[in-house]
Amino acid sequence: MRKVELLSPAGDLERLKVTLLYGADAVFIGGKKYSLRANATNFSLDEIREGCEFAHKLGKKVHLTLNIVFHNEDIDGVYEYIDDVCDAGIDAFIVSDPFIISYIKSKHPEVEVHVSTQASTSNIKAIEYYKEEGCDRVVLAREVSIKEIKEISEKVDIDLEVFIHGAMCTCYSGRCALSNYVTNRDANRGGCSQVCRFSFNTDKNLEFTMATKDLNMARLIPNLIESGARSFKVEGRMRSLYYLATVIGTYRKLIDSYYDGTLTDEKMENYEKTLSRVANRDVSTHYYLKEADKNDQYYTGRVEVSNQDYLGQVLEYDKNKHLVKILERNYFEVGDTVLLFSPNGDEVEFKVTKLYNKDMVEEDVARHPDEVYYLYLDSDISIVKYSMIRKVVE
Amino acid sequence: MNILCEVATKDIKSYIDKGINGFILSLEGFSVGSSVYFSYDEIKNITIDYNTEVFVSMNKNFFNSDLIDLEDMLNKLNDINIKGVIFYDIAILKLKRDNNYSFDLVWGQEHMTTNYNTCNYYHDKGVKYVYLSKEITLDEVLEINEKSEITPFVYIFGLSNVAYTRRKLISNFEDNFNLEKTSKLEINEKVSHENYKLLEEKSGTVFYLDKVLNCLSSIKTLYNNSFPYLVFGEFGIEHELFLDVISDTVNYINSGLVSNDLDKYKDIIGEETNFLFKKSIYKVK
Repeated sequence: MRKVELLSPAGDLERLKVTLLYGADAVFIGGKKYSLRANATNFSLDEIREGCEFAHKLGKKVHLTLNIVFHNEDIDGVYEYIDDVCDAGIDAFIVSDPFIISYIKSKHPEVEVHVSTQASTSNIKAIEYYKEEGCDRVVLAREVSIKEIKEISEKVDIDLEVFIHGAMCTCYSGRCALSNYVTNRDANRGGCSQVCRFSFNTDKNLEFTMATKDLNMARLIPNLIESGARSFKVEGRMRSLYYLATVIGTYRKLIDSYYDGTLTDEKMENYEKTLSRVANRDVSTHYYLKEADKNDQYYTGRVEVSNQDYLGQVLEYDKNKHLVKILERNYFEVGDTVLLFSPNGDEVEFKVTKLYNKDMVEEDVARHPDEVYYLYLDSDISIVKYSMIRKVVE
Repeated sequence: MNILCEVATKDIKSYIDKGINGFILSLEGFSVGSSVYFSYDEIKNITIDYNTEVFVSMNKNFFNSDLIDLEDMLNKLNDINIKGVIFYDIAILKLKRDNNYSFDLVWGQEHMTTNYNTCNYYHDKGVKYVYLSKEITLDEVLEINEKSEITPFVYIFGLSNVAYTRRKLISNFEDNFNLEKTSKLEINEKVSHENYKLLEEKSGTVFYLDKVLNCLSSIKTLYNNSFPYLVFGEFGIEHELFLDVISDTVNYINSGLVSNDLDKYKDIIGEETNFLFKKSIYKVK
C-alpha cells in the first residue's frame, strides 16, 4: 500500500529542516514572490535551493506555493521565476491561476503541478478537468467530505491532497474579498488580513462573529487514509518551530502506527492530548463528516489562547556531566516534570532536580527567555539537533 | 457598448423598455447571491418572448451529488436560445467540453478574474466571455480588454458581492443567541464602519458591501476604449431609481456620449468607486 504523504508548512529554512526531521514527507514553502503569505519570511532562490538539497538528501520533497491570483502587473517575470525555481530543484508548484499550468508542464515536465485549494475544487468533473490539463494533484476544497473524497478517488486517478490540521477560512477559498474591502489588503494575492476573525456589530447592536474553530483530523486519520486521499496537509507557514515539531511529530507517529497496525485507543488519546497542548483554539472536523454548523465557529471576539508548555530548544547534552544545555523559551522551575523529545522520535520524561544558569550558578527557576540554562539529566537518550523540551501537564 | 442587468424583479419588460441589451439571470438551484432567482421555464419564456441577450448565472460551487442535476440542466439550457452560462465551478467548463454545448461560457470566478493571461487561457479553452473582478482598477480592466481575446463584462453600478461561505452564518448566529429566524442580516465593521448585507440561502451565506458602486463617470473611458459590456446590479436599489439609471445610461451611450444625465446620481447614490481607482495592497511594509 502506498503510504500517504505528510505535508508540512515551512515559513523559512530552519522550519523546513526541523519539520522534515520531525517526520514530514514533504514541505510547502513560499518564495519571495507569488505566494499567498506575502508577509511571511519566505524563501529566496538560494534558500529554495538549499531547502531542496536538504529535503532530497532525506528522500523528501519541496513544493512551492505559486498560488496568488495574478493581476496584470504580476505577470511580467513569472515564467523566468518558474525557470529559476525549477533550476533550484523544486518538486512541485501549487498554483491557483491556470495560465501557468501549461507553461510548467511544457517547459518542466519533471515538475509536478498541484491545483491550490484556492481554486475550491469540490467535485469529480472539476478534478477530471484538471487531470486533462496535466495537473498531477488537486488540493481539495475544505468543504468536501470524506465520503466525497472516496467517490472522487474511485473515479479519477489523480493525487488528492486534503487539509488535516490548522486554521480554517470561514469562506470558500478564493471566494472571499472581505480583506480587500475592509482593509484594502488583497486576500488573493497574499495580503489577507483575516477579517473573518474580526468582530462586527449587527443592526440590533449585537456582536456578530464568524471565526471558525481550527481543524484537527487526528481521530479521523484512518478514515481519511481509507478514502484514497494521498497527501495530508498541515496548515500554517507562519507557525513556530515548536508547533511544527509537535504537530508533525505527532501525526508522523499516528500515521505510522496506522500502517504498522499498532494504533490503539490509548495511543490516539495521547496523540490528541499532545496536539491539544499546541492548539490555541478549539477544534473541529468541520465538513469532513457533516456540513459545518453552529458548533464549528465562535460567537465572541478573538479567542486565541496560548500556553507556555514549550520550555526550550536543546543545544547539547553532555552525558558525562549529565547536563542538558537549552535555550530557554518559557518559565519553569525545579520540581517541574518535563519531556525532552527529538526529531528521531526518542523522548524522555524527567523531573527537573537541578537547574543552572549560563554561568553554572544553581537556580530554582528559569525565568529569562533566550538565555542558556543547564538541566540535570541522567539518560541514555541520543540528543540530535532540534530536540526540544516541553512541560508535562497532567 | 452593451448593457446587461442583474435584476431584482421579474418584470422583464420594464428593463427592456429602457433599452438594455440583455440580462444576467440567476438560475434557481444553481446560483447564489441573487435577490431574485429564475426557474428554467421562466428563462425559457424570456428567451421566447423577448429579443434580448440572456446570460444564465450558475455560479454555485458544485459537489458530487449535484453533478447529475447540473448536467441535466445544462442539456436543457442547450435547447433554448440563451447567449451564455456564467460559471464559477470548473465542472461546467468540463461538461461543455464533454457535451459540446452550443451556448457560450462566461468565466465568472468573481474575485479571480483579474488578468489578461488567464483570460486568454480560458479563451483558448473555448470560453468566449469573462465577467471581470470587482476588485481591479480601471486601468487593469482596459488592459485586459486590450490584451486578451476574450470579451469582457465589467460591473459598474450596484452593490458588490464580497464573499461567499458554505456556512449558514445567519442561522448559526440566530440559533446561538435564540433570535428570531431570518435570512438577512446587516452588520457593521467596527474599524472601517462599513456596513455589509448578509444573505443566507440553502447553499450558504453571501456578503455584500452595503454601498452602491457608482462608476457611471467611467463609461466615457470604457466607451472610448471599445469596451463591449457594462453590467448594472439592481439588488438593494429601488426599482424605479434603477430603471432611471439604466434609462439615462442607454440615452447617454446612444447619443454618442452627448446627452449626459448621469452626474446627478452622484448626489442621489453617492460616488463610491471601490477599486476602480484604488489598488489593493498585499505586502505590508
